Amino acid sequence: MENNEDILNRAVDALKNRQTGELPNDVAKQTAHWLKAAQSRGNNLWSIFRPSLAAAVVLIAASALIYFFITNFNAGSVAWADVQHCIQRITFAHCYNTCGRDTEAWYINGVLYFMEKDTISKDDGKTKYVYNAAGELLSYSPSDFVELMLGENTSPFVLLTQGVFEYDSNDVNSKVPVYIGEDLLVYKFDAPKSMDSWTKGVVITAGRQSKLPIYIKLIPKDSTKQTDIFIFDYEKQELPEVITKISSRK
Amino acid sequence: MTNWQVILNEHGRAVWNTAYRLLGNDADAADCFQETFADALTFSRQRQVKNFRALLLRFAACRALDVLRQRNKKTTPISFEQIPDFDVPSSDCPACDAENKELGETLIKAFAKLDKDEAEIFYLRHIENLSASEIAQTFGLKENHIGVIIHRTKNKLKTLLQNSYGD
Repeated sequence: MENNEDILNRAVDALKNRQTGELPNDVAKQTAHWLKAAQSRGNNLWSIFRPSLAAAVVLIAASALIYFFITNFNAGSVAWADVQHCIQRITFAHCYNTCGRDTEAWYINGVLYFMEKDTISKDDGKTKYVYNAAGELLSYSPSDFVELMLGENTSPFVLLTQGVFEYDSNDVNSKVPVYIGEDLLVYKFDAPKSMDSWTKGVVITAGRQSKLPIYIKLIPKDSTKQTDIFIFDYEKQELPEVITKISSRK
Repeated sequence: MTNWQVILNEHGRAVWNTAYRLLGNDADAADCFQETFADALTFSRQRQVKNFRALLLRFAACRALDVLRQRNKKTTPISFEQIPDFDVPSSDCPACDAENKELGETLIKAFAKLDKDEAEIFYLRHIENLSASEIAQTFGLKENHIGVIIHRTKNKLKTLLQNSYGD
């Protein structure tokens, strides 16, 4: 009968011989880029790539998709142009991710607010302020998004779209809704390059009356993975008190 | 100034292997990979690093084991993406391959039940083949202490494997 020592040795060998595949190029490249950026900045840029905050980045990235469409779609697609027209007037949006991440985000007059557990952060593309649940300032540091900088006064939405959404506008200009319901308009797009490894495509559903996006769905390539859905609303009344408090400060 | 591109080129593959070996899928391994380098960057700002390979492997093992512990804690049904796709090179004995696969997975589960340092130290010594002296340096412990931890961990693992596999 095999003794414990042999079992352990065989287990160790099995683990040692486990096939690991090649290091994906995009992972290596991204890491190299972030290391370089973090090193040149000399601060904790890396925090945005940590899981908890990465959720926030994806969340806002989804919101940024809307902004991307505002700036990159032409009027050739009539139905989408209607949606664009409505989005252009937005000064307030709330986004909630259903993928088990406890993060909500708001876009208020060009400034991003994230709520994660007990902290709230405000990022205007230049500075990131972190507050506690009572709205008291805990710390501030350079914006998490400044690495993607186009110009000092550029909106965080634009900064994000440069880093995340890489659609060629020629490919998406001609998109029209794949479904037109009584209440809904559904648009479907291929995955942006930067999400190509894990996302099959992006589906945006907009209200037919309001002509504003209601949700964005990122469809994973691996069907066993959870689909990311970002739900939007535009109701200022629902704004948590602490965000109201923070956003009203000069 | 640390040249991270060189470090990434030299040790990236080893870090990836550690992450993937323990986590078994691209997505988790990629997160672990990036977090490992983030940890190393932060560490290198505070202290001088003498052995980047050992440090990176330690951080990678630490991060990956954290994920394994999280998986273990979950009471809700585990999603398919979290089940490691455990592949070992096939041999002439398919039955042995299957058994080894199972053993490897059992060992990974056992790691998640050990104390943090124990699992990391055992992993670095026996899977990554780091020397006791390299591990001691990375953990800031004496070599003898590492030896004791490895011995103790080995006994714990034997019991854990026996319980879940040996009957």
